[in-house]
Amino acid sequence: MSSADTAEIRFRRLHPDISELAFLAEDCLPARSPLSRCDDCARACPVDVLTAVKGKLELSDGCLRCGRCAAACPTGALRAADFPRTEAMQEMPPARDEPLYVDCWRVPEEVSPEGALRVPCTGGLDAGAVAELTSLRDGPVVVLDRGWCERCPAGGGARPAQTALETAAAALDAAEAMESLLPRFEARGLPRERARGDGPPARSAMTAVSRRGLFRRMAGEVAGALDDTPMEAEGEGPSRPLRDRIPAPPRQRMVRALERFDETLPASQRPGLNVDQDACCNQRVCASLCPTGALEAFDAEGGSGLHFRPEECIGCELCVRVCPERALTSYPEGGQSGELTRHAFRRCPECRRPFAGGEGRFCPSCDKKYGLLAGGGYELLFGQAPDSRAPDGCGARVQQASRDAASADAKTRGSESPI
Amino acid sequence: MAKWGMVIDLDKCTGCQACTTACDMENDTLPGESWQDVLYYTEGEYPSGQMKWLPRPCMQCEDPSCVHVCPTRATYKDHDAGGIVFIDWDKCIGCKYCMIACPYGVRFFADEKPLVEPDLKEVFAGSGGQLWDPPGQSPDTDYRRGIGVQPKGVVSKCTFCYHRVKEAPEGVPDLDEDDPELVDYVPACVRTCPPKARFFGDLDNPASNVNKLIGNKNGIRLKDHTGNRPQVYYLGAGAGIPAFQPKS
Repeated sequence: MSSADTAEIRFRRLHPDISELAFLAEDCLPARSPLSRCDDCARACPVDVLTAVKGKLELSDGCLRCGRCAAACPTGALRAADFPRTEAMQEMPPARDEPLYVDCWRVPEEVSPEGALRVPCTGGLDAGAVAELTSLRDGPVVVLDRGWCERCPAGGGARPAQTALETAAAALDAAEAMESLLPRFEARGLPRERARGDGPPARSAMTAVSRRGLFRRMAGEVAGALDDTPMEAEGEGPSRPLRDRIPAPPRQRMVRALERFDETLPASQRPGLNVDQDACCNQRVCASLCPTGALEAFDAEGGSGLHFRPEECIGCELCVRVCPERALTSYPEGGQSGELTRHAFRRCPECRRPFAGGEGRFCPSCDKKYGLLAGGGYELLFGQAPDSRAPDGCGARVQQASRDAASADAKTRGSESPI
Repeated sequence: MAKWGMVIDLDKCTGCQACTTACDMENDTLPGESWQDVLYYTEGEYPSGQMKWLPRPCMQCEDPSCVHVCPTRATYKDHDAGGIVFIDWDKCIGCKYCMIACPYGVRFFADEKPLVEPDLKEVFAGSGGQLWDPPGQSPDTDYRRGIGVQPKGVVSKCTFCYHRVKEAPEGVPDLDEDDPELVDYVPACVRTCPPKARFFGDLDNPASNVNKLIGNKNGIRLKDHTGNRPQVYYLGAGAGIPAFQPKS
């Protein structure tokens, strides 16, 4: 069983009655670390039934199944049924100017154009999916604006898909896709009386959908897959999944889509990291916490340091927040792939083991050893205050270690407490 | 619930490292990694050099810096377990932030280079996620408390031998190795210490022997200025070899 399959099984319902929305806690940023303050899903919910507090998602009654939360999730930890999963799709024969119309379920089926992609709510599409649909078809995605979203409970605005479409269009444009391919809206007003129901219709009402268009079939397959979303199994212990990197499918969709147009990602899609070389002590907490593995620690022949890949970065800023030295800053555009830092290996004069990073003479563990004597420990052991005049005596090393420890303390204390 | 504390009398400690060995065997720590080290310090030069030593378990601080910095809340202070600081190996991602923050250097990460050849981790290759399968492995395993043989990529530390201590009868003031009723519940380092330099008991119980020792012999805590307030106290005027005094 591949890791993707295992992840598939680990998706859980958030609400016992709602099989359409599935959640994978190990991919959720605040569930992985309390340092993350991500609550994009809860803020996206148009009816405020989804709450995210300290990494715990709760869905109360009244979910519209519109998929807005799933579209907002930066890591794909939430998944809504009946939306196209573009990563499972094959490349299609070029459609050129033939648009892929996207329509919502409230529109009567006979009104939708032939072959249209019908989804519970157009606001449930994320920018990555729109971009990937564009690139797979080599044709534009056109979301139909029926003019009634404003007053739909799932709407939350005149055009729920506005942000996703604009983001996808800007990214595709920057990747030098032809202008005719850029996703757009098309106003095709319908009188509100023709809408089905008061909000996105229940899934049961839609199961009789005839399988006209390719994309509807795709959506249908996903729906089937989610039908047996398992309930929370009792007494099941998590198997240390927090250490694994997560794939962040929305970001991957976008990157895959753009790479079909341009080999190198456009600068606007490449977040970047700056490291203050003097402050960095090569502690590598940042790399350990990076959810996607965009920031990685390496140990090579000539040194040890950090390596960064902007195409995998989702801009969660956990690395910036966790750095004990506050040595990292992020910038949104124009990041470069490659080594961020490289610290040469040195040999600790005390324990003779190699180490990299830091300003002191000793390796961190020998620093701690002498640091123990600094706050009264020396007097405890030797019965007198340390004599720092001795050339390389314990006293001198205690002084040195206490200086190192003081600077490390100051740095560590500078970082905010995660609690 | 008791608040477990340890008292180490440096006047008695001979620096023999029996505690280190007992701890390694009791807790199946990785070869080359000891939760209970004895640190050696030298001062001065020949012929008047001195050598002193300091046994160093985890201080189980009352206000532990490691707990404050942990980005996944994997390490925690368990007041229901006598105030011991544990690591939940199911949550630990091995970022080592706690190791940076700990002022005492009593946290360990499994990537330590092998100290002996051949590497025993390869000789007794691990199974079921364990980093090694030591011969005669202790049956106690509790990943939520960092007890057992650790899996890959986690930080490990002294647990005050919680797997033993937790069996002690409720309300005992001290776990004294000389009491046949209690000897099985005493932490391995305390049980094994040949000069009986270690004492283990309840710091919340005013009648406990550890509290008397701390009071009568002026027990001190290391690096008290950091505000961590260790639950390990040291007594005495320093264990070591006295400076050489030439006869005139």
